[in-house]
Amino acid sequence: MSTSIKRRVALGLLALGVATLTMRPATAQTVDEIKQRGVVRIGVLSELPPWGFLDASGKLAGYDVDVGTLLAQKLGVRAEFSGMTVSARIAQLMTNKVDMLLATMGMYPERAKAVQFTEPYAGLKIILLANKNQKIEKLEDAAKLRIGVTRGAAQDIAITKGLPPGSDIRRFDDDSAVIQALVTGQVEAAGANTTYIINIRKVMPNNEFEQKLVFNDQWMGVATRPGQKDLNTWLNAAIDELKANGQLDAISQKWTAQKLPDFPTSLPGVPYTVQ
Amino acid sequence: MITSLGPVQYLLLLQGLLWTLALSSVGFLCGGIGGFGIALARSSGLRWLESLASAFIEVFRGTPLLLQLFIVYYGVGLLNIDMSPWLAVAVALMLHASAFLGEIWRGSIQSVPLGQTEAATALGLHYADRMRYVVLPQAVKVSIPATIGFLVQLVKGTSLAAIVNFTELSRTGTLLSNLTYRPLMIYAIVGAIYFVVCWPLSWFGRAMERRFTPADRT
Repeated sequence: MSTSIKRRVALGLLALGVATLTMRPATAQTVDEIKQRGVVRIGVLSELPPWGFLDASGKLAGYDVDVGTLLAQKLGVRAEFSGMTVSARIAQLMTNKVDMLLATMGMYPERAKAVQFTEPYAGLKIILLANKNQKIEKLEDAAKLRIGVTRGAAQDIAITKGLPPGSDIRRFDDDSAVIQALVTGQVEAAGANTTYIINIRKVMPNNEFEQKLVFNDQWMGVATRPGQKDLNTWLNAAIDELKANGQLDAISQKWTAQKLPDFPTSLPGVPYTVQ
Repeated sequence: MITSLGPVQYLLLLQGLLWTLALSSVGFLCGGIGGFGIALARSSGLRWLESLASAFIEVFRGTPLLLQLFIVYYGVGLLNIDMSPWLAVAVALMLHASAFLGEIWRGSIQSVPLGQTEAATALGLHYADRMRYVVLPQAVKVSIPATIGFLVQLVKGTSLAAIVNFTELSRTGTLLSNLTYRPLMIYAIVGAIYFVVCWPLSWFGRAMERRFTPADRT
């Protein structure tokens, strides 16, 4: 065999390898297809403790991962988690990289146009966080302050809407940058959610921050591609069961140190079932 | 939530570093091949080929790498082609590096006095031989400082691959900083790792220059 032919064979094999790697796995549209495949692919966040994050051993862990594990058990299949970022999660679902998202995804009407949510399985509150000695009783009290938020997050939207134009709202790329800015005094208050405090307490046990205002409740549901009626129905039934048998409450206690909130039976603009 | 870095977290950083090195190598190798072609085209003496190469250089040197990555990855995705981030980043880095290296090497080729080319032509050497035996050996030496300078930029530029969800060194740093809420410490470590990679490159560049110098004196 001449070198040139060898090289061509090698190139061919390489091309084949690349093709195999980039080929899409078969799309599972129904519960039966997932059961047949023996594995359910779940997208979770990889950097949002306590919801979905890499733990000390480098494995994905958190509230969402625990719920996903229970769902996989119910399906009788293996759970395969992929960690993703907030900005990439919907694209990953739509391009069939995963079957469903348990990615701390707040159920808002704009998002419900892109994905199909189930009923909520978790909740948190979008809040304003500031030093104890700041007097903030309503949002207007914060108008003079430098406020840090995560760009495009629910707290960014709520604060931007509530404050007069020209307020000093500083947008950061991620949660840790907001916290860093708050801790170093670059900002005097921060748009946050209730789980920030849990995290800050772990890093700085003697911090002086407290929850000042609550903007809204945020509910998190499982997201699937639109129109997956079979999967959506199954997931809603499974979540109902986890709520009834106390397993979901145990997960809530474990990760947020709070009992499971009372979930709303419907959300405006966010249907729980395929219409 | 983790509050300090253990062996597993350093392993993650190491994995990120390996991706950064892989991206830099692919960018430099593919960009080197592309850049060599561009440099030859830019100094070919054929008007149409020179303008074509020149247009390529202007486009990819005049737009940010971040934008190029974005367009290659998401633009191709819009055409419904499933492109892995790895391939997208490799292509974008190659285009980017080709433009820069092409222009650096074009300058080096043209820094060799025209009289040498004329003399080689007079001796009956064809284009390939002229380049191989007369022009390029001298051009290579001239190009080393700028080439190494670009390589160092490229290593740091790969951090932009994070935009297509690529977990290289900088992205690993962001991830760990979100897990630990200690961005200052994490980014200091990440910065130190970049330095440890880039500094030997500069050193290597100087050593190469010294090595090529005696050949110049003959």
